[in-house]
Amino acid sequence: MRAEDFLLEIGTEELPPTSLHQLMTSLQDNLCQELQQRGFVHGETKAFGTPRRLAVIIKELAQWQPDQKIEKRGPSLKAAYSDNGKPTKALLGFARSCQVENPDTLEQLVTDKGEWVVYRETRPGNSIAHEIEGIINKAVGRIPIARRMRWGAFRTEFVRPVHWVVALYGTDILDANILGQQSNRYSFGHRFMHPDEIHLASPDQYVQLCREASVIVDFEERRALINEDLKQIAERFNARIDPDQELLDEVTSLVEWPVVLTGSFDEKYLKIPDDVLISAMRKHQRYFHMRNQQGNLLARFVAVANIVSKDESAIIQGNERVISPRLADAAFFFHNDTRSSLARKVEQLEQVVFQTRLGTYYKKAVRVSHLAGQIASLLDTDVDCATRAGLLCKADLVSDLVGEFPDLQGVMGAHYAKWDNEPPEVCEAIRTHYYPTAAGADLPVGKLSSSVAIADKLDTLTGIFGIGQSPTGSRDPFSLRRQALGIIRIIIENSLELDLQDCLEKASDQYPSRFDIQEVYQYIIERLTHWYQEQGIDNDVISAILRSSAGITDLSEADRRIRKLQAFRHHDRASDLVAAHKRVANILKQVSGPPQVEIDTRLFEHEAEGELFQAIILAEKAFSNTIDYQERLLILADQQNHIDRYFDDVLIMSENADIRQNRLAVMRRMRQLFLLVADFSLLQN
Amino acid sequence: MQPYDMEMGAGTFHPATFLRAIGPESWQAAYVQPCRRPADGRFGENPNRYQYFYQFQVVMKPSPDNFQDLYLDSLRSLGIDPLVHDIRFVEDNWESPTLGAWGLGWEVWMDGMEITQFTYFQQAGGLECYPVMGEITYGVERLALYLQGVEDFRHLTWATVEQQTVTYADVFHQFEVEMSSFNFNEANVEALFSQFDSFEGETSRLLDAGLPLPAYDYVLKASHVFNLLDSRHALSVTERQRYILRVRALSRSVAIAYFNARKKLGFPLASEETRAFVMEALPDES
Repeated sequence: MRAEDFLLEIGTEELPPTSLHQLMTSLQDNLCQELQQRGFVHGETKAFGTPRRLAVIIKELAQWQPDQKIEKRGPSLKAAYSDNGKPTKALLGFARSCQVENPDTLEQLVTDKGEWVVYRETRPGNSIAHEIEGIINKAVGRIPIARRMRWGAFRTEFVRPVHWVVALYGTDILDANILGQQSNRYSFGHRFMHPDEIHLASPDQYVQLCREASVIVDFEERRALINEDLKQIAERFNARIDPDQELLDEVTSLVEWPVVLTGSFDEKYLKIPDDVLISAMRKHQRYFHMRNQQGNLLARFVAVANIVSKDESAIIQGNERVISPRLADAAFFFHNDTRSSLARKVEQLEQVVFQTRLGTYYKKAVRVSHLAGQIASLLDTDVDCATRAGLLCKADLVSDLVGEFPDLQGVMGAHYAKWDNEPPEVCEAIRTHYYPTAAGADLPVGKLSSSVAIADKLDTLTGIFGIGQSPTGSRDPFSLRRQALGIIRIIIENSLELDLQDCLEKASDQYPSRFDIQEVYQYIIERLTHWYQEQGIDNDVISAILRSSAGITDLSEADRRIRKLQAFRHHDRASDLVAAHKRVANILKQVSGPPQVEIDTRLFEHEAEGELFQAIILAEKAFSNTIDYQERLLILADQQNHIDRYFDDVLIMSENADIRQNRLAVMRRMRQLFLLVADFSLLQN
Repeated sequence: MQPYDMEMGAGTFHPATFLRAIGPESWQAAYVQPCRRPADGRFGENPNRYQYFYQFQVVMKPSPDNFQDLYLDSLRSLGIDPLVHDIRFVEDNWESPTLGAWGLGWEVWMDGMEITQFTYFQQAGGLECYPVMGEITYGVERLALYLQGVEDFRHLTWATVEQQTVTYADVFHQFEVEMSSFNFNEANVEALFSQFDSFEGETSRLLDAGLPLPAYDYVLKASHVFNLLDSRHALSVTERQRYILRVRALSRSVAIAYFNARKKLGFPLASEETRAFVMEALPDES
């Protein structure tokens, strides 16, 4: 069967750089799905994208769909014919819907479940030329676009206005009307360096002819080129460029023909904090920055242009002319912000609402301050510093610079705190109190900073859950998911001995109407379970620890147990232990009523009973001598023989009520011993 | 056209843009508009940020297919060679909370400097824009920097008279210094608050009188007073949001009243086809 390469290119006005990569891969995925649904087989596919085009090449796309066997089940035989053998209305209707004139020509389907009238047909497959318009339009329609737009007097909607569409199948154009454009074989080159049309004879010319027209259509290739040039420039200045994947992707999405350039700015601006300079360069201008070998910022920027200029110095000069007013503005804001102290700014937080029902940021600052102090006390670190940092940590929200660069919140607070001569520990705690800012991102270092970071997150979680605004599905405006995970990571990865329930109680105490903490506790445990899953730890291991008598509230301790139990479950004695605990747990499941606690050895009838009881007492003693989890696991494993023998020899559910209760009491004591370690009965074998 | 003779933050507020973006009528206009953005005052110290500056505004409705090309040709005729300079369309979606308007488009960069805002209006005064108005807003002073090869607004040549140069600073520097002082320190907050209330009241009264165009003048006044209150830091964050919503409510009512007034006139500037389409979509009034 004939199969040819297929090219789709949609030429547009400049696409949003932060979503370009997603747009192109989504077009690719959607096309493949639509083709697959219609039974068109094909080979490898590749997505391309530049600011002015989305494209996909599909190798060896079959020209024809396979024939389709269609089988429609109609009414049952009983319902299809009346008693005198005439077709019923139901049958006639069915025949009409299948465009069959004589209902008696319909076939019958007989199974052990009944008999039906059935319509069968083999429909020859359609050609790709016939199907392509529907395929492309479906694929395009399903591209996720944050905000669709219209243009001119058209009703068509897309990310940006569309100017051309290439749809080539081998050397043939596949006719299709896509987003208001008729498909053709003409693409266009670089907006300025090669504005003419590119005549494409076939898809295999696409990459090369575009390159000749000053467009590198391959996203990864452009990115690699930029990266290489960045390295060379850094070398030239004996400097290094901090890796910044996000920025690299963004500039890759802003150019069709990358040219990396560097320029300088007045060294007087180096007095402004690095963070501010970097943000001004990065956010407003999409510049990379350079540091010398000592890590100090150079008074230079690195820009990625989209043209091989007839006069490159004009571009450099132009960029130099832009950055200095930007930096002058940043200096202006910084100067303004340092005219009042951070402590004064805390008062201004009275004007800033955190959440309508939870009050202003000032109230939040006071709560976080108290809570941070209490947590610092639990962690045996500097309470005064934690209280101070908690109070000041939100104050930079009213500064001009954070207004301009929201991503510098916390960072600017630390700079201003330093300016105000706050202790260095306080500055550091303010700087990192939002940490971790993303999955896998850095954590606050040390107990003091941790206590402030935890306090801020606990306060938000407790409050927002308290007013019933827990996150649902994708709606999580306070990013509670990230904050819950943040608490988990800080406590566990910084090895803090903190009781989660206790901390939540304390957070709740800060609010005038104390909030219930059970829901938020459950939520954190859910995030914890998810976090462990990602690390390859089994769900049942987490459940087993969660249902142990200590539960999961001291997260660091629970973490040690979870990891040991996960390792132990592959130990050769693990399955014995699980089986033994299950026997005990199953028996106890069958009984209800108030448990008898005292065990009367005089009621023992079998040797196995005394033996097991003795073993329990010994194990309890051994437990009191060791808190090592691994050892405790092995001690429990040793009980397996006794338990097996006990179950072999002893009928627990004795007819004699006293004896029965006594035996159950032994079982309970055994189970309690198990539960000190884990609820093994929850482990799947 | 000529500038509108009232204080406004951008050429978009000119009735020739904001009001004409509403409804099915075709429209093309070009004009210079002096803009006042009180919070952008830097006492004339910043090389390219002033609280008073000029925009050159072009609007075309429906936006033509070759809108970007027309714009690039305009740069060429200004003497800017796109084969020398790095000219780029960088995503910048425009939104005016006070006008209840938004659009998608770009800021146009020349060698990294924003010289133009380029927008396809999607909504104005809370009403969907159909057909779509395309808007090009040139930063006049910024373009002049390039054309004259200087670094700072102050050094722009305003005019040369008998070999004597009058600079931009000669014309505007004192104004920038005094107005910055006014915007940040001297504007009478109490008076501004009461003016805002009065302008708001007038807008409603004029709308009731069936006069959307005079009402719009009062929206402009209210909007400028709001900007001054903002530069005086007289509004807390929540209050600020409330004031924005108050202005937006006014813009919306004016937009609706203007739409209805044009409808009464039969949308005289609309093409047959669009008029029919829009009338069709309207709810039947009977």
